[in-house]
Amino acid sequence: MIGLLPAAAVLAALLVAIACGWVLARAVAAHLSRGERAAWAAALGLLLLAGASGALVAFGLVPGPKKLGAIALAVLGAAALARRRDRLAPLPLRPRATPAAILLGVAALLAAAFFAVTAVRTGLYGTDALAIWMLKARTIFETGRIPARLFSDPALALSHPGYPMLVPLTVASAAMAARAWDPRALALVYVVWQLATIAAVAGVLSRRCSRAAGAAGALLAALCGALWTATSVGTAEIPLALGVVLAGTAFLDWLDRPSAPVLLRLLLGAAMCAGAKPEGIVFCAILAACLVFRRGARLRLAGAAALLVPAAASFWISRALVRGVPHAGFDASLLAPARWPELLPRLREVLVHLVSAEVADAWPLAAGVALVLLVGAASVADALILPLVLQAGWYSVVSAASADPIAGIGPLAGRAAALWPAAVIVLVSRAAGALETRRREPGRALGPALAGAALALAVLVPIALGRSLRAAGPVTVAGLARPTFHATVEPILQARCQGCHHAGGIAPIALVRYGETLEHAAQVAAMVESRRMPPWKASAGPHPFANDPTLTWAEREALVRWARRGAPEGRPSDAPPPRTFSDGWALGPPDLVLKAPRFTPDFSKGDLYQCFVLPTNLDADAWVSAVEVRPGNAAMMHHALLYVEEGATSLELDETAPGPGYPCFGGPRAPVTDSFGEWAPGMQPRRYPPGVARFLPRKSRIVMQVHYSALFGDVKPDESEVGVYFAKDPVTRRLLSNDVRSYAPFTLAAGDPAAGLWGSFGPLSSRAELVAILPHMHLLGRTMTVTARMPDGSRQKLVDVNDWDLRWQRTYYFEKPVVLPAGTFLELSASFDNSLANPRNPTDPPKDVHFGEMTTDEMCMALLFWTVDGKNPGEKNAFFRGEVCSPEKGPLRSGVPSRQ
Amino acid sequence: MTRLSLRGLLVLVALAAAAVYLAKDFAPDRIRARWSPTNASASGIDLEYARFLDAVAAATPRDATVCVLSGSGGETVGLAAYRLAPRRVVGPELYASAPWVAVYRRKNAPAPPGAAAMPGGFLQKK
Repeated sequence: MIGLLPAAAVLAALLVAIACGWVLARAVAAHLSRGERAAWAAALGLLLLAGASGALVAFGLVPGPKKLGAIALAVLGAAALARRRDRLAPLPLRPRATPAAILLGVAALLAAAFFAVTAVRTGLYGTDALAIWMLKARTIFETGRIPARLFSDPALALSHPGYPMLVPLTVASAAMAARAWDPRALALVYVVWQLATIAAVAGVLSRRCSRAAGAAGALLAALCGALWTATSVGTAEIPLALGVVLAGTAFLDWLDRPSAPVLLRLLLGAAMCAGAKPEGIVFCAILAACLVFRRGARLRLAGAAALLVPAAASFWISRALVRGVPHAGFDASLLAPARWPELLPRLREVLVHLVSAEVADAWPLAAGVALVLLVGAASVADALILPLVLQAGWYSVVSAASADPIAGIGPLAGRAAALWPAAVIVLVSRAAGALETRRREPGRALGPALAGAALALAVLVPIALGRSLRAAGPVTVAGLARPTFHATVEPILQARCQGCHHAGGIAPIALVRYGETLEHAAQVAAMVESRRMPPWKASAGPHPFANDPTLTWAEREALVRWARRGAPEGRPSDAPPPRTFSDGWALGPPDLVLKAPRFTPDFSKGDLYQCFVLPTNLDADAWVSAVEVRPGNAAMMHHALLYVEEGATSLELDETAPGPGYPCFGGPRAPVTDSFGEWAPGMQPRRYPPGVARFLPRKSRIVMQVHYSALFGDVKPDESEVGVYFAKDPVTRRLLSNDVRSYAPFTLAAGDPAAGLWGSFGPLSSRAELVAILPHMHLLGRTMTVTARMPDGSRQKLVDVNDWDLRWQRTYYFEKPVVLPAGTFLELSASFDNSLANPRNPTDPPKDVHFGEMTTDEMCMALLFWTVDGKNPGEKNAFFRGEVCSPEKGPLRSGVPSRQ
Repeated sequence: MTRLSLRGLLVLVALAAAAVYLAKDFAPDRIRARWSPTNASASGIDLEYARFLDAVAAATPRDATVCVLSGSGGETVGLAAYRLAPRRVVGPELYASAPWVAVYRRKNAPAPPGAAAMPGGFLQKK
């Protein structure tokens, strides 16, 4: 619970600051309503608090209650002197409030009070609030200065060192004035900003429309729970919302009646915006552009300059201070015109999901806004529509340029909430005009055009984007809004989940029928929401993968919403045709099934490598378009590797060894001529691209090396099978296998959480087309990146696994084979965590781990599946790496791997 | 305002619809969830983790560089940076630069020799 003393101290500091702000506000708000003046008092008071602390710190002084109090007294004294010479003009008389205005005002006050109580009750706890803003504020509070490392320490990349400092400085100043760090008490700073925003909205609407309109606006602004629930109390959207309202209303007044106080308000409002967040800088630039390009606007350049000066100053300070720290989660280079072709599809995806899900879910709000825009009367406040729409568009661009555009939609909705109070001014102004028989402000030519545009946007955009979404996947707009099992969930499960989750499949639960899915609905929601399912460890790169099962944002939303809304079944007639499964084979009945003998491993000496000889008995050469391994006891299998042997060595080894198969630690021990396939936990079989096939000579044998691990499960007999699918279409390119691996041998030091390994392979002597790639490490692996270094020196990321898990190994098939010219190098970098923080570390305490074949040893390699020019169907024995390249030798290196 | 026109009625209905939609955040179940004592845990701070970090803060100098190993993502490092401020907190990638290593949620085994046990983990000076 909130500490009373710290809360009282913070409150006292804030009240003193607001008192100073009240006298300062005379310069800019004397001609405004009381609500606006109160808002300016709060805004200027907190700006003064932050500015005074910043100035003291800049001079090497620690801001404490005495120094800040002295500054407050100086400000109040100076204002008292100035008052003698410059008496305030009396505020215009207002008509008495109507009962409706009183009722709405009370409701607004209750909502605001609820926000205040919630803020101080829960305090500042959101991850963003702590990791970005409060970290800086607390560091300033604890040290009494602004350490340079806040802007230059690579360890603080998460804190966005380039963000403006108004919020941290204000919070730190309040804490320093109170001599206490109490997150709950400091939430009062946000309460002041929020109340000021509500007061500003109420004030401007009272001045321009009526008291009832002011009260209605206050209520709508106060109800904006997204500012404090969708994100969390303590994000910079709250002060940004105030800045947007202050700058936006000054912008309206500047268009209406430009004057020196209005110019000052533009400047200070822009300072509030630009000091709060980088988005505020953009909003200032948008307002300035709207002013410059607006026909008939007087003194355009002066107003634009007042908006741009604080924005430019904030931008320049960030650029000057921040050194060498990347912007976390945002790729600014996507904004360059050269990369617009990449940005535009991402932007389209963001807009599709935004409209389809957020707007569909918030349809009463969207419909209300559209209706008011449509039938409301034109107002001076309409001039804010374009800046607000452009700002919302900018948020969409930011989301599209995020590392994960779809994951950025949640924060985008939070950011957009900062625009709501300003939007309320537009909406209530238009509504108030429509309610009056005699309009206060005569209609303008812009009104009908805006109404038509609003109507068109409200109707056409969702339809167009909804059609687009339907084309993109199984989720429809209606399905997302009201999901049912048969109409919405079942198509997603069929497409993404049932490959494993069917009776007899490798997953422990089936998700085929409604009843069994209902039983696991909550689990499904939790797993997809946390992105643990479907399992996929590679991040998106320039070469998309064909077998990526990752749910789209809309699909994930649909599953989660369905589970949380009672998991309704819906109409069975909406169900798609059921998916069929053939006796456990994921690719359907094979053309040839090779069965390994029944074998029970003996783990008395640890892990076991056993080879089984599987004769093909083929009378003619064959081309194979897919191979599927069906493990007999997947729980104890680390991997299975298949090789082609044309001789008889493996048969001799098998006959001389006791029991089924023969031990084969380190390799098949027979002169194999090609690889033939592989299996590892989590792997899904897949057919090769059209025209691509493996070669299987007549009378050849498959040698299947199985690594049985005692770590993985109960000891039970294994009787694995290999399904072979012959190519039905003409074969034009032969599939080959090679690998790129770290320079062995290596040692991963005990306790090292970020050991790095590198390797390279090349240069390729022929042009190749990379079909798929299979990273492989053991228990300590954390990340692996494989990159192609082209002959011209450019690099292309092929696969980037940033959360390695031995249980979920995948062969990553490219959507289109990646063309690698002759002269290309394949480069691998990987990191390993040999500390106790790695929950999969098999030893406690950790010990040095070396390269080796055992599960508790470590490996670092990526298998490459490709077709190589000149190694085509007529040729055989193209397995060994020396035939396709000259291996590049290099020393073992350790440390932090270089990341692309 | 003398009498309510159809146009006026429409905008009133539209504003009321928007207000009713917005007011859903004030529904009793949402308020209860918001004010729940476990809310902080659901919103990013694991209370056990906070206790661990407070113990680390008490055991390290204010100018220390601490490598926090939690076995999970960057967010936990960000929270540690706030909780341990003004200490410098780094993630595993800067392990080599940190004289102090704070390991959270290790398996149930005693802290290694030379390490100090903390609630939920241990602290080691290299």
